[in-house]
Amino acid sequence: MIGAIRSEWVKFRSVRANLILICIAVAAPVLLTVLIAGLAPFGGLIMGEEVFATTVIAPSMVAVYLCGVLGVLGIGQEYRHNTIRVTFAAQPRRSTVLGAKTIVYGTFGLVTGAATSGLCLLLAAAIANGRDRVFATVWADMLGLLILFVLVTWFGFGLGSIMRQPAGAIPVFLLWPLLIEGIAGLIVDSIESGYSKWLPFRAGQRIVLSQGDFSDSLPRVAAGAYFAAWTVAILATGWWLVKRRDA
Amino acid sequence: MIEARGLSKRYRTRLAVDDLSFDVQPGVVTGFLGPNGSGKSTTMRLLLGLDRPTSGSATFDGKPYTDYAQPLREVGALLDAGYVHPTRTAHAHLLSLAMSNRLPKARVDEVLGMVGLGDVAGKRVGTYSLGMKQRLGIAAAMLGDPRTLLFDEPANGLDPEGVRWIREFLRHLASQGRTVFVSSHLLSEMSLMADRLVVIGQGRLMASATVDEFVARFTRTWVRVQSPNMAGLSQLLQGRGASLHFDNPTTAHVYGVAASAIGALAAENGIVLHQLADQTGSLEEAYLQVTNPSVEYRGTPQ
Repeated sequence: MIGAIRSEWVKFRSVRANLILICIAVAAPVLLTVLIAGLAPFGGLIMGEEVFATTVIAPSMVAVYLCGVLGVLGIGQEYRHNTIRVTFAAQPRRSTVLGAKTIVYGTFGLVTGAATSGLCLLLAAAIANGRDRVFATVWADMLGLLILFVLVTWFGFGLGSIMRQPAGAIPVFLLWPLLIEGIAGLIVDSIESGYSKWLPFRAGQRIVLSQGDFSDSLPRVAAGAYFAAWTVAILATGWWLVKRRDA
Repeated sequence: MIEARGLSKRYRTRLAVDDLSFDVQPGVVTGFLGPNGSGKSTTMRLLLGLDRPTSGSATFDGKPYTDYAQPLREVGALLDAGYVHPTRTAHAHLLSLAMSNRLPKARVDEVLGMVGLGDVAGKRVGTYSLGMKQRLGIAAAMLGDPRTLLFDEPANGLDPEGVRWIREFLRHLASQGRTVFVSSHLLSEMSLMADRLVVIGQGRLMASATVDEFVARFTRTWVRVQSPNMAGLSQLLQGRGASLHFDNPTTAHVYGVAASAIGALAAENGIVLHQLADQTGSLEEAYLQVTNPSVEYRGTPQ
């Protein structure tokens, strides 16, 4: 497994698109944080959960979805360029390859999440005069954000394993939370109010939100477990298909 | 040694490989021949466990490929030179493969030098010519210094010097006692390179033999005869049951009678001979004879 992880690490860092994506994933939220925190009237407020949600979580969601795209590319690029055949010829035990990819991409999701949210938090705290109290008030939200980074990266990786071609998998991955769940939420809520809490990404976003009206949402930990279960199901389906299908 | 036993692969309604059994021996170059769409590449993928056979099995030195934890040390394969990420450098491509099989990093530079890509190892593969990609694929196959090598069309895109290099390289590998299995459409190259042949058509085994056996079995032998009295000699030969094909009034191809018998007949009848030579068919003729009924994609002259 160690050899496979090292191999995946070399593959990851040697593809320019991955590095560009990570740079965008870190830079875009940081820029958004500076703009939001700089322009919004936070001068008199202490950095707390409300300000945190606006200046750290909202911009970081851009990076969360980009990490999901990174997950899709983690295996989708292998199928697109047929390098999956070289990969499986070098390591025919496919579970080893998939396990190594899951670890490497999960780690990158975590590191990117830590870098992005950490920078956003420091900048927002500095701008919003909350440096002293920041970790005392938002640590749980920070932890939730990092978990979401990893889960969404794996979700993208699982979806890429199922669909194989990134040209199809990336739009599906992005439209699912950004459009499909929005429409589906309206439909299911019109049938029975509160049903939309069972939509996976809506539950996933609940992991990072502690402020607001959550009467129609799952409890935070339950929502996290529910989204994690979806992620595991998508990953497991992807693994099963990759192992079963011809390369 | 490669052993394929009853390999079959069905894609929905199409049977791409049909009950294929053959052996590939060490110490010789074994050519893998067949028309386009005959199942050569599918067979290669089945051997390497990339595609799941509908039935049958294949082993390398007695073990299925998928049983090897570090297969690059046992089997090296070049399936398609294009199976490389275009923005990755040649060095990174090989390094990732080396890491997966716990091979030393130094081996990457060794094989890059071996195939003549040492100076361009840091360039992105997308900038490479097809010939350079072929060399990179050969370097990847050699990475683990394996005992068995599979090459699918290794001469594709190579210039004449490259074609000659790959021929000598493969023969050198075989001379070291390795098992070398190579598919190619270049029959002239195959006749210079291969010792044995596995020939398939429409997924089925058509022949498995040495090159000489294959040519002898599937082409006719004849005797080229040149004589100023060809008309007289031809009457005598036809009386012995020979059939003749005339190149010109003094030269004929004689089928059905051995050269020694023709010489004796001419001497007995005082006929002068200017040429008497045994002729055999070419690999191309034998190949076309065997595979013609199984050619799936055929062009028509305009």
